[in-house]
Amino acid sequence: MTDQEFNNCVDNYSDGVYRFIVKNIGHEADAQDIVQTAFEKLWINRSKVAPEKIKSYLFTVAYHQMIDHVRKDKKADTTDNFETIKGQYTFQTDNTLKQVLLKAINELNPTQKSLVLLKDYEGYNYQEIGEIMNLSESQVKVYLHRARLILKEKLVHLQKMSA
Amino acid sequence: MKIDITNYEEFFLLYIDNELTATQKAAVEAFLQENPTYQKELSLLQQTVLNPEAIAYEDKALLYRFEEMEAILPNEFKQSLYRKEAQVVKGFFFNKRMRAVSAVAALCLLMIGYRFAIKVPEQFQLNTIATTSSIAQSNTNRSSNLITPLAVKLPSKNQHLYNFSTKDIQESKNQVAHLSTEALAIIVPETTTTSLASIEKSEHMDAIQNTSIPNITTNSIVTAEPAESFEELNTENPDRVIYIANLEIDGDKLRGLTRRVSALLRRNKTEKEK
Repeated sequence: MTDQEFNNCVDNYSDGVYRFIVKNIGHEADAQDIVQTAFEKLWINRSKVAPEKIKSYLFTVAYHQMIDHVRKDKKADTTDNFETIKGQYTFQTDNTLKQVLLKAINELNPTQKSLVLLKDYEGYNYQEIGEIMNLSESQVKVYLHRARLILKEKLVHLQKMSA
Repeated sequence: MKIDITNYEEFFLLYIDNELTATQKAAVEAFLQENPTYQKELSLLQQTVLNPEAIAYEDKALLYRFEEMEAILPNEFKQSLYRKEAQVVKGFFFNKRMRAVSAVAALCLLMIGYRFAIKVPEQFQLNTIATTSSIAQSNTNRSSNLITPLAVKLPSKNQHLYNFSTKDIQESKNQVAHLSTEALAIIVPETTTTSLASIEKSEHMDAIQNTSIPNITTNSIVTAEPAESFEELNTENPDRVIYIANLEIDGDKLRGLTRRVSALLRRNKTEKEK
């Protein structure tokens, strides 16, 4: 991989990786660190990563970095973290569908959240998501469907309330 | 696989996740045509799909790689990083054992130096009598002034003398000069030159040999090889006086010293083994 090819990867994939991470952990600086680490690892392992796998390699590394980060964060601060994550994306109170949905997604568990983000934002299929998150395809399917139904219930509930 | 009211939800979910083949999608759409009441259900699920937001990673430049990142150090600089021999020698002295050895060596040198400083006149006399005392008898006042005080002490040392090969001296005047330079040059160069000058002036070498050698050597004369100027005589002296080059060393003291050195080395060795 040449410098130019690597830089093209930065142009093409860094936004997506960053969006995936920042939506998950809700902290911009940490998300940037994770993205940076992912690209560093890509450069270190550039000879081992097939060109067609570069994007999912970046997501895989970033996802695992994020899990480590969340674990460390939980150890350091068990109480406030979840609240701040929720708070960052729920401070806007206009009940547009999108805000309601974002609020609902933030209330999902981390795995479900990642599944929804990888599916909806990046358009990965179940198999690719499974590779990134180290899950089987059927696990992805079951977990993601469960998450969709939870989201649907929340939307129905909120729409009833606002109606 | 037929879609009906028992399995429609899974197909809807796969439909919104875009995981269905074209025929499966068509089947879902056909099911909705037949059962319009389920259209609302699908719409609700479709609302759970998050539309991608335009979130950009701002500092892409931080991630870019540039050629400078792999800048290669110039060779001269690399060479400046190499380990040099001087550093190795330095390391050699930092070795604990070598430090002890060098300390002992330094001590020996100091002691020899001390002896040398104290005893030079006597030693000088010892080594030079062979040539200078004889020259004194046959030569100018200038050289005899230098030699006379040296010759005085001769009798007390006569057991341990270093002797010239008389044959060689007789054979060649040049040989004598060669021998005397070997004997003297190291110790007192100026004396050498004067005595050599004296020798050259002397026209009666045979007379010198005849008069000087018997005076000097009372016990035995060992004939040296032409390359050697001296040889130590084994006189079995009870005083155990040892000569190293032209230095007189008390044999007992030297033995004590060597014993101490070997004890020190042995202790170092055992410590190292521990």
